Parts: sequence; structure tokens; C-alpha cells
Amino acid sequence: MMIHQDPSTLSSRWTMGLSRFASAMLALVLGLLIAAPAAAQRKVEAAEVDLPRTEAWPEEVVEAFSQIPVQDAGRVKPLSTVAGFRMLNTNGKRSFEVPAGSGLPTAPEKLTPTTWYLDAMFFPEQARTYEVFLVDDNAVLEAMGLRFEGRKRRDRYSFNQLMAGRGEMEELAKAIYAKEAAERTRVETQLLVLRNNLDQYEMVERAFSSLGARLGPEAPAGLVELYPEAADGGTVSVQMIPARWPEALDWQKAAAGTAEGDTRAEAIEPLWRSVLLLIELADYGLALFPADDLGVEKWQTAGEVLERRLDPARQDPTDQEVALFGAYAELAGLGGDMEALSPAILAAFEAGKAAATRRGEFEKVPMEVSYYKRDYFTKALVFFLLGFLTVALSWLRPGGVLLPRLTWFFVAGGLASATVGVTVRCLLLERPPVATLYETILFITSIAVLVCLVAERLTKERVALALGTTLGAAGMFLAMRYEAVEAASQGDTMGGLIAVLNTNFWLATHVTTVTMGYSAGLLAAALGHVWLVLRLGRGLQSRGAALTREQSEWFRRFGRMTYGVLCFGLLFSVVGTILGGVWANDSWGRFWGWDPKENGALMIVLYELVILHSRMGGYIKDFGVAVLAVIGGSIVAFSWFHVNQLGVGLHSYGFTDGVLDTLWTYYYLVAAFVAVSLGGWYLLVRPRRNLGAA
Amino acid sequence: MAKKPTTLIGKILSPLGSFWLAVGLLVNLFLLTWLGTLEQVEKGIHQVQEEYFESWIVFARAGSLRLLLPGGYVTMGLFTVNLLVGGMVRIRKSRRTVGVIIAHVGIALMMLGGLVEHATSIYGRITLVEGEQGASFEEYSGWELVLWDAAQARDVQEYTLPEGRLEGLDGGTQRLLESGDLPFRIVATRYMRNSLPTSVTKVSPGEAIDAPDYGGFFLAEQRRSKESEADIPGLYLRAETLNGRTVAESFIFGRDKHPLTFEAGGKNWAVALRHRRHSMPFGLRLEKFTKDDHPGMSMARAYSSSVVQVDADGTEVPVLIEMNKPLRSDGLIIYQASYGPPEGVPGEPYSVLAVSRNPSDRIPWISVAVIALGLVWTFLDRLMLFLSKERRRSVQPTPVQGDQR
Repeated sequence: MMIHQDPSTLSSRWTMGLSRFASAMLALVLGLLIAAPAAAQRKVEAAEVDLPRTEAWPEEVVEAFSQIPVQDAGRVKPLSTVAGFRMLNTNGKRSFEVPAGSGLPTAPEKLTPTTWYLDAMFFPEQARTYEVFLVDDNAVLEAMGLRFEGRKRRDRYSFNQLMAGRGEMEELAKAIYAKEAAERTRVETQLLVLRNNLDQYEMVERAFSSLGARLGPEAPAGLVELYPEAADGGTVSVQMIPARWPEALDWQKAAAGTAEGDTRAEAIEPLWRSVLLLIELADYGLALFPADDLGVEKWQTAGEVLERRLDPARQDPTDQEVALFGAYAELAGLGGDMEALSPAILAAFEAGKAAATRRGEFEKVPMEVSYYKRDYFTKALVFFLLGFLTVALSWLRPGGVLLPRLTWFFVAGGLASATVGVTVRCLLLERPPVATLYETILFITSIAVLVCLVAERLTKERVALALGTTLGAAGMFLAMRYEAVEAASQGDTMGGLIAVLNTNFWLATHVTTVTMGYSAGLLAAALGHVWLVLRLGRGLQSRGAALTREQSEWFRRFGRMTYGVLCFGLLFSVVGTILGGVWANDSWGRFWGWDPKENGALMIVLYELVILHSRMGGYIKDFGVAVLAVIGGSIVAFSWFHVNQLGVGLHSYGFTDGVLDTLWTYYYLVAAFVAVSLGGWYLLVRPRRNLGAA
Repeated sequence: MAKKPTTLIGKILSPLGSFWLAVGLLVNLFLLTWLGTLEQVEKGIHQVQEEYFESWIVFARAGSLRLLLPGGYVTMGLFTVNLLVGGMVRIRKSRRTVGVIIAHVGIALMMLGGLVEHATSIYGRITLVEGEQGASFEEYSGWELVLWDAAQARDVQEYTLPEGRLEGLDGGTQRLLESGDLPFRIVATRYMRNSLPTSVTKVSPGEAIDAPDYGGFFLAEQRRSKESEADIPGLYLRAETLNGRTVAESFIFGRDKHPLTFEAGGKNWAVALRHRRHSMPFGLRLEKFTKDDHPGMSMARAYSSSVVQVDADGTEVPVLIEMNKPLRSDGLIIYQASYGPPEGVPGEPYSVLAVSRNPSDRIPWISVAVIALGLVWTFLDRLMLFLSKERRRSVQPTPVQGDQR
């Protein structure tokens, strides 16, 4: 049964007090939204391209191209996933806007990773003008002898712009590689990253163009007779070159020592150069060719298939492999010809799909394309931000029904979107969704939001709901940032797991429980922050006066919620930590080895036990619980990320650059917040503590 | 929560079971764990384990400060007492505390398991090349002095002295390896946990050599390594007849390729330092080691050893030992630990199997179930209490009260 509260009761005055905060936050968000497009505007250079793309890529072509199956980082995935991570590593995000002022026929145009790949492969001249190479610090460019006016310190550049400094870059890279990784400066490390991105981009350009050779319109008739595919400017599959190579050599030798001999040698050159190039790329190209033998899991690159043809000791490529090679090689000579490209891409996709389907390795490819296209976690972020907006508005206009309901809808929508995303990952990988640090962020955020919704359902104070929007948005934002970090170090967030992690039972039990413990610890920290802000804000507003009975009761109930979340966290942390020991006992032969990751989990358990025992012993009350819960957040962060950075023990595989800086910033912020809270408590709360709930 | 003590014993036990002691011990254990973890970067896991957790007192490093803290033994000992007295005996027994008591029982059980493990368990490894059979395993970092008749090739009778008996030998004292059927004894005089044979010519002028040299070499004591496995011990010893005549005198080093040999009682004898060995009640023969990589990568997604367990009566049982799936038999647990050559190329693949003898192997399983039961009980109980309070609050009209200022 609902009752109507008097406007003078705490909740109402409370939300009135919050309205100022909400107004400020709204002003900030709106200010940022207005300022962002203005900041993005800068002078655009016109692109000079002889053969630009004159129309948008047809939808069915993009769809087919995105689904071309390729084996990468230990699994079969769609080409669009490879393109997505390449773009993320190069551009820092998964999209690129061709600016209106570029002069390109299709501008302005938003490119996805797939359309960027299509342009890079089939309209390379145009794609080289795209400013997609993110340079974090222009000191890198200065080191390369490049200077661009009107650019920010962190900005993006095109391949063409950067190529002017490539020679200097190579010299610098040699010197940098001679140093130990730990001795390299930040700029030096960034230069190597940029160099790698340029190299990788060149590989993308050659992915299909290197599969074919063209003899040109002036090709001698004798050679065209041997390679009839080359007639009328056609393309010869590099795979076919060795098959008729003895005849081609005979043809060349027949005119040796004459002027005609020189002409023939010149004419035959593109053929052997194509073979050499593909061999050179054998270890780096896309693994597009599955073996006919179902017992062989590894897919081969075009260069590796060609090597088999050239090596008499190895089995020649089968007819099906040759046919697939031919289908991809068809694309080699069609760059710039949209009309011819479209059917060729569709045919190549069908050939690749058939080859993968024969092995039962295609069925998840469309699901993965859809997973990235639907972008569940960005959608979840939008939901959570909208929820934050509505909850802020509801504080401005307390008493309404629509806004709280909308907030519920947005938070639940965000949670549903994130949950679907996590579930699809499980289906794609056939394992629980908590094997990498990136995945733990998604999982922990989802659990924290779920607990917030449950807490809100129980307390109906809108505080847990507001926290759900904040934690959800922060978690999704963090996940997006960390995805880029993990992509830079591993090239994929769904990569293969090391042997010890390759166990669904332990991932489903230990890792899920221990991360749920992390989740609860972080949620308790967030609740502690809110409790302290509200309590000290109240003290400031009333200049240290005692709380009314209702206010006291409200803070006590809030404190109980924090306490309850800590109990929930302790349950999962204890069980998760011991299960970790049991897992270690089965995999490494000892229950406890004082490994940093184990210690981190134990620290959370001990710390939560300290809080609960201190509370039960009466040494602290709600204020103490809130302060300790806030500090607990940094202990969770230490256990979750910091211990992996120590380079000690069996869990140091999660090392990632840049994480330590972020962690230290967080620790300092927590320390500052706690110091301010203690000062505020001493000045505003403590004198009246016998009357309040401190 | 605890009852007020009325008896003398109760008054004595009261502080031992108090919340403040529990909180203090938990804080101390937290500090030990945290500071110990950070110090691992400098000292490695094993040394920190010894200094922080297997000690009575510790000078913990906190940045530039040094904190004097009770070590792991003191903390865990008092913690156990506190847990038993405060969390199981003196705690008020009611419906509200059932879950807490159960959880405490689970923790006590786990600590008991830990104690049993600490006191009785042995850890080691057995390394097998394909086709090879072994029936003993060696410890990772424990060493022993071993003596045998150098002429024997099979069923060698060995005389051993464990490292524990050698530790502390600094040249001033000595330990004996002797037996009634030996016509001589080995006198160990100085033991170095980490050492390096060094040429006297490498010593700078004026630098003192604090150990005798043999053949131009002496044992130089080294600082302990971060990982105890990296420490290679050395031992000064002499062999003397039962009437005290020295027949051989030298030093031996843990990484010597050949043992020190000498003649005594008409026989050739060999003496060496080696990782401490333990026999197994069955033999293991490695049939095949398999490293299964992720396709197109050099990262293993699984590795396993196909072995044959050969029992004492000759019975052969094929077993597959995989990562996360150990073999448990006759009180031993055998795990897939490592493999070689490191790059995993074909050649002479070998498998390293970790072996442990731990009577409390299954205790964690039981204790985690008990603790989970206790915590779930407590959590649900508190939740129900919270919900009933919320329900009462929602059905009672809230009194309107003015500000108490």
C-alpha cells in the first residue's frame, strides 16, 4: 500500500536538495554536447584522386564482403571483425567520416570498418587520403620530420600525409628496436605503434590485389596464349602462374639474345614478381583458405597455398582450394571498377562461405557480423545515459511518475542490451563470458546494474536507480576504452585462451563468483560515495545541525543497503576466492601460492570482513561503513587490474599499457575524497553524532 | 553478539574472542597480504612467503617506511583462537547467528586443512621423456646430500641427509652422514643455500676468501634469488674413516655434472647434492605428450600427457593427465605442469608432471560448501529482516516531524 508523504518529509526535501546538483549536471552535459561539434570543426584538405569511388558501396556487397570468413587469432571470424579491430587500432574508433570538403564524390560519407577495408583494397588511391591514422602526440610527427599547421597535439592523419616521413621513421625505428622495451620513451613507443599501423595498412591494400597478376594491354600474344586469362587486361591468378611456368620460360628463352628477348623478359616480369610478393607475404596475409582435410584446423594464407604448389615435397592445393583461390584472385584486377567488383565480391563471398560451410565453420560468422553491427554495449551506454538524464530531471521535478518510470525503462533497457551482448559473446565463444579483463568489465557492470535494480525495487528511494545509470554508463564507457587497449595488445577481444583458462567449469564457477564479488565491492563503494556526499551535503546545508528523526532513519536505511551489498559481496568473494584455490589445486598442484591475483582476492575478503566485524563490534556506524566502502573500491581495483601489472606470478598475462596511470589517478581521487569526507565529518557531523546516524 | 563473561575462564577468554581482536588480526593479515604482494616485485613470491607468512614477526616495507608487524604464524595462530572462541564458542546461539556459526566452522575447517597441508604435504615434479618410466619425484626447491656405491648400476642403495640437517652449517659446526654398514662417514662442515664455484684467480687483490679452495676453486656464497628454485646450494665436506682419517675433502655444488668420488673400504663411493627425491607407490611411463595449439597460433589451448600407471604388482593402467584434470591415486596427485622443449618443436618432447602428496587435498571443497551455506543463510536472513522492516515502514503512516533544530 502506498502512502502519501508530507512534502516536509525528508525524501521530498532531499530530492529538492538534489535538484541543484541535477541542474548543474544537466548544464554540464548540454554544454559538452554543444561544444563537441564546434570543437570537431577544422580545415579539411581537398583530396586529389584520379580514380575516386563515385557511388556508395551497394548494401548487398558490403554485407557479403563483411561475411567473408577468415581465420585469425585462433578462430574463424568474419572479415568485418578483422577490419573492425584494425580500424580501432588505427583510428581509435570503429568509424570514419569522409568530410564534405574533401571533394570526393561520395562525401560526406560515414565509413564502417568494412567499407574502409573495401576502399583500401579496391580504391586505394582514395583511401590513402583518409585521415584515419591516430597520432596521440605530435612529437612523433616532429621526430619523423613532419609538421602540420592547425593540428591538435592528438590528431589524425592520412597515409599520404605520413608517407612523407616514412624514411625517417624507418631510421628511428631501427634505433628504437635496439633498446629494451622498458627503456623506450612514450614517443618512441608511439612511433613504433604508428609504424605498425602503416605496415598493417599496406597489408590490407594487398590482401586481394596480391592474388592476381596483370600483363597489361600490350602483352605479347605468345604469353597471352599461355595465360589466356590475361587477355584484354584480365587477371591471372598467381596460383596458376607456376602451373605454366616452364612453358613461359621456354617462350622467353626462345628469343633470348635478341631485342625480342628483352621485350619478352619485360613482359614476363609481372608474373614472377607476383609470385615472389605472395611468398613474401605468406606469414602475414589473411588466412582465407581452409584445408579440404577436416582434420587440419589451420587455415592458410594465399602465400602458404602457393608455397605448397612450389614445393614438390608437399601436396599440391586441391581443386577446391584452387577454385577458392581463383574466386578471390578475380578481385585482384578489378580495383576502381565498381560495376565489375560487385558481382565478383558476391561470388568470392559465396566461394568462401561454401568452403567454410563444408567444415561447419561458417554458422557463427553471420552472428558475429550482427553482434558488432548491433553494437549492444554502445546501445546500453546510450540507455544508461538517457536514464541518467531522466533521473536528474526527476530530481528537478520530484513527485512525478513518468520520469521515474522512464528511468526504470532506460536502466532495464541498458541492462537488457548489455546482457544480450554478453550472451551473444557466450554463444560465439562457447564459454562463460568472463575470461578476459574486457569481458569482466562487461559482466561486472551488468551485475552491478542488476543489483541496483533489485535494491531499487526493495527500497524505492531512486538512489539505487540513479546509481544504476551511473555505474552502467561508467562501466560501458570503461569497456569501450578497454576494448581499444585489449585490441591493441591482442588484436581481438575474443582471442584464444591459454591452456589453464580453457575450462568452462572453472570459468563458470570461480571467475563468475569472484567477479560478482568485485561487482558488489564496487557497488558498495559507489553507495558509500553517495551516502557521504548526501550526508555531508546535508550537514553543510544545515551547518552541522542534527538530523531529524526521518532524516536519520533515511540515512540508516541507506547505510543498511550499503551493508547488505557488502554482505552480498563477501559471500561471492569468499566462495570465489576459495574456488580459485580449488582450481589452482587442480591445475597447478597447490591450493594457495600467495600469487598476487590470489592475494588480491583475499584482500577483498579480508577488507570486507574488517568492515563487517567493525560494524558488528560497534566500532563504526554508517559513516564508517561508507568511508571504508569507498576505500574498498580501490582495493577491488587493485585486485582486478593492478596485480596483473606487477609482472609477478601466474596471472601477469593481463598486462596492458596505460592501465597503471589510470589506477593511480583513481587511488588519488579516492584518497582525496576520503580526506574531504573525514574533514567534513569532523566539522559538520561529529559534533551532533549523538543525535544523528554518523 | 558474545555473552558477557561471568566466570574467571570466561573473563580470560573474553578478549581472545573479542571483535576488536578479530578486527585487529584481519587488518594485520590484510596489511601482510597487501605489502607482501607489493614486495614480491622486488623479492619474488617465495622469499616474501617466508618473510611475511611463514614468520613470527616481519619488518614490512611500506614505501620508504618499515612497519613492525606480527608475522603470519602469530596472526594465523591468534586468528584461529579468536575464531574458535569468539566465532564458535562464545557467540550467542540463536536463529540469527546460525549462518555465522556455520561460516565460522567452514573457515576453521579450511584453516585446519591448511595446517595439515603445511605440516605434511610434499610438492615436487617428475620429468619424463616419451617412453621413459619413473617411480620417484623430486622437490622443487628442497635438496639433499646423497651417497652411494659408485660401482652399482641397478637397485642402488642410497644414503641421504636432507637439507634441513645441513642448514645452519657455517664451518664452525658439522653434521654427519653415517650408517652402520658404511666403513666411513661423511662430515658436512659448511652449507650455502645459494652458491657459485669461483676461481681464486677471479678474486680481486686484497679481497678475502672466506672458504677453502680445492684445485683453485672455492664456493662463493650468493644472495638468495627471488625464486627459491633458482638457488643452487653448495656444501663443504670430507669423508673420513671411522678412526678419523680423512680420505677425501672438497666441496660439492648442486649443479655439478658428476658426483664427487673417493675410495674407502676398498670401494668407490660417490657423493652429490641433488633435489630431494621421494619414491612413489607406482611407476609412470610417458607414452605421448601432446601440445594442442590454437589454430594458426603458437599458444597452447591444451596440453596433456598420455601415461601408463604401473602398479607395484605390474598392472598397467593407461591414464590421460590434462591441464585442470590431474590423476589422483594412492595419496598422490599428479598434474600436467609443463613441457619441453620450450618452443614445443618435435624432437625429444618431454613432459613435466607436478606431484603432490597432500592429505587435505579435498578439505577446501568441503569448507567452501560449508562457508557458502553459512553465508547464504546469513545473507538471506538479513535480507528477510530488511524486507520485513521495509514492509512495516510502508504500512505505517510516517509521523510528520519538524526539524529538531
